[in-house]
Amino acid sequence: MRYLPNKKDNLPANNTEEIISQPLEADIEANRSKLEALLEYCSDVVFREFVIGGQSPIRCLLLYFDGLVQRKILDDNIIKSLLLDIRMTNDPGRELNQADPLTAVEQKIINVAELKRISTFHEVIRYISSGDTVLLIDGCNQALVAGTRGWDSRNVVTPENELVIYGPKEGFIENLRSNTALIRRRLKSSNFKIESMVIGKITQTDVVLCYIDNIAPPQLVDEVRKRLQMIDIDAVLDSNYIQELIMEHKSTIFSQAEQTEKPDRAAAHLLEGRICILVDGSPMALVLPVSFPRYWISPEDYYIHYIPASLFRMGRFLVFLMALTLPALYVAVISYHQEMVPTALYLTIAASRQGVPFPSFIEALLLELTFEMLREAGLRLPRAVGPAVSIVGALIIGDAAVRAGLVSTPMVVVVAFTGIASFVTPSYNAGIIIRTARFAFLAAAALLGFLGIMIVFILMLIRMVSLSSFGMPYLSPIAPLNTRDITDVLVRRPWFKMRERPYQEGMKNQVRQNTAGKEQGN
Amino acid sequence: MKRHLFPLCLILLLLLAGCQSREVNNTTSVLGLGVDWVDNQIETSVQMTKPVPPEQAGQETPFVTVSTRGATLSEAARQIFLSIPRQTIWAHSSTLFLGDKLVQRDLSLIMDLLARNVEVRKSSLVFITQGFSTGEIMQSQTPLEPYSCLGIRDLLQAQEKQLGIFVPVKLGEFIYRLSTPGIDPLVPQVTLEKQGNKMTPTLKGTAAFRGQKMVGSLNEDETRGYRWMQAGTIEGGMFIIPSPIDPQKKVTLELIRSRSKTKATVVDQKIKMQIEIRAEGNFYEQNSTGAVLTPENIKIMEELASREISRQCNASIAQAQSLGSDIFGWGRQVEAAFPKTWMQVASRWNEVFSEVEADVQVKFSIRRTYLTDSSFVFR
Repeated sequence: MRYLPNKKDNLPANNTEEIISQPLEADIEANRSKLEALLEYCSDVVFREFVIGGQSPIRCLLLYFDGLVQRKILDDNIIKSLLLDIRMTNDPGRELNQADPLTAVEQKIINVAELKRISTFHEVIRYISSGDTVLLIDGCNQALVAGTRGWDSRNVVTPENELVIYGPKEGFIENLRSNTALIRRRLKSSNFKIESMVIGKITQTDVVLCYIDNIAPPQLVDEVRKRLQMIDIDAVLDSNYIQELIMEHKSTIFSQAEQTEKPDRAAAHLLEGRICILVDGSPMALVLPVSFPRYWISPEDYYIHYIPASLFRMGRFLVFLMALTLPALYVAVISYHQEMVPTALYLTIAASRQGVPFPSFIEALLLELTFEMLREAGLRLPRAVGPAVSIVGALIIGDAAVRAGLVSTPMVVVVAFTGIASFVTPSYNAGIIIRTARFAFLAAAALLGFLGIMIVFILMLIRMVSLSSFGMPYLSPIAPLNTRDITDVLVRRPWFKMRERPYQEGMKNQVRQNTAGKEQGN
Repeated sequence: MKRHLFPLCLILLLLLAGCQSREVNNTTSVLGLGVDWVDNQIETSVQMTKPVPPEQAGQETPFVTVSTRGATLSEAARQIFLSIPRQTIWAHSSTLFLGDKLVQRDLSLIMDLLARNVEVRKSSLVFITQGFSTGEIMQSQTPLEPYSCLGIRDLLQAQEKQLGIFVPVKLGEFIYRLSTPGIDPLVPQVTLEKQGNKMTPTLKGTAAFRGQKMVGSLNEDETRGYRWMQAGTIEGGMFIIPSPIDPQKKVTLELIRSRSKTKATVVDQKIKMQIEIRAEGNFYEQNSTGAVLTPENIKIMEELASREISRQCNASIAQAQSLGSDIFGWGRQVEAAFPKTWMQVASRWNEVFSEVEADVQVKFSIRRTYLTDSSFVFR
């Protein structure tokens, strides 16, 4: 059966395209019909028409999307003002007629903080989609936009992925304005710049570029701005869209920008001359440029005493290496280098591997994949079934598989250890790198033993030194070596020693503390 | 296409890897190798792990010892693979047993393989059996340690700290001493003794070598004497001297550390060895009562201890000289200090060695006791 001919079908295909590029007209009726054509089948749009002024009324049209506006502002500060307050003045209406009614309304009647003029249909659509309210007045070829944005969103809560014990616990949310406010609250300086732009042809997503003007290298800011402006995509739903689109090295697992949910971490990056990109609708801020050693630095390191912080950081680095190579080392020892472990340990391993039908590589691969499966499932399981699945997972993997002789106990221990260890890195990105690279190590160990592990390690290092993030070498400050900054990589430099910011090409202001050294002497 | 050629080659290179994977599942670990001479053939014994899952441990011996014979060592060893369904891994083989019948006959029967084969670990400890074949020793069971080869190895290492009698000899050291003029090997011996109704391995005596064969044994006292004279520091071990207050009673002293220096001198073409031992010990026990630890008594005890140490050393020297086996490496000392003299005597060193005079000087001091304050007093 053929569908009934649609009303839309009768219109020329490019009709809406045509309208949207046109300027507003003076005649409100014409504007209304065009807008209705544009917003056809948009059931959440509200056209509210009324008249203002007593003696010679003027037709007005209020336009907004239901659900995106704060109704209280709309009712009290716009509609009430236009309909009631106007009449309480001595000369109702006349003034409106005499002068340009738009200016009068803008300057004397509407009492909202954010109010501006627009003149095209394109802008009308954009602003009402963002939650603003558009007021069209008969006889004016411009319209007023009142900032009435206000929709249901999350409150600022503790970030779920970057948990810390010490330090600020606020996290970014999906609302861009709240996010910039969270950073602005920490950086009370006119030098903290928030450049705004709109990316995404359909989503019209607000994207802001944050930096501190007298610290961040200007050529870096220019470069990032340029790359952002070059983006031509229909939709930006998360900051990762931006990340993948502006990175110079695209085919690598080593992510060259850091994503963080914590405004304090973003602020700390900004203070070190880096750039932060916030995307409306994404609670993850993008920080760049970053280098690889950043991945085992936790923001918490800077909030606790520097000696324990340094110890934790070194431990994290060790765990990072182990998470990367432990299954590979185990497989290599089992298959090639039996002499590398003490005899007693070797005999224990050998005894527990009796009757296991698979070679250790297959066994490791199976368990690793099982762990990845459990992890992935754990992310998506509905709350209610979560415990059930984790019990089954623990029982089946931990106990039944060993009892059935499918896998050996040491392998379960190794995989469990690395599984936990891959979550020790403060950055979730680093965890992803670990979990990916681990399989390469595993395969190499199965093929060539320690030699293979070494080869993969060297290849990985070669890849890393060849990368850069917006001009910053990916392994800096280790390679190229910067003797000053390297003191804040494996250990945490104490605050009284941090007199300068980490080096970055073209950075304007390196000095962090002018007098720290002198005061220490007193 | 050309861009991808190089990485492709690298990947293909990986596939050409010659290493063969020896998974634990289809291999067995060798813990000890024994070589003996039985019925005019070489007999090799290999102790292999029989991995039992942890829950079945303790029900049976966790190892298998397989003995095979052949005309040569490699032929005998090859026979093992006819009866063992698994590949053997030699990485953890830490003991090497040589049968006394074999070593008394001729070491050249086996040394080429032992010295040059890559699978034989040069860090394995060498033992010479006494009165039993290597197979019998390796079949036996040591108390506490499930694997007898490892048990015998641990026995040797534990006694070194506690008693300080036998000196562990690694295969590398054994080979070095066999192949170097002016020094002969000395290897601990192991035998079986009845304990309860089981035969358990026990260390007993030390085999001394000369040329290509074993020529005799040193007893415990003589082995101790050898130990005192070793270059470098030795630690641990106890010895007994008469009590200074009652000659019928004994006092036990514990060695803390000792250091010896051996110096060769040549006077009128006569070689003389000067051995200087400085030892430090502490008072350990007396089997009597009374205040032994007075300054005067300590002096006496130091003197008695020095005499005891030099007695052991002289016993050791006498035995070695009677066997004509230069276990002390005096030839090396002479060679280093008097190369000309050495050139004259090198060819008949073993006879010269037996005539060499030795002068042992011992200085022993008691520093402290590590015990509670005063001696035990009866009411």
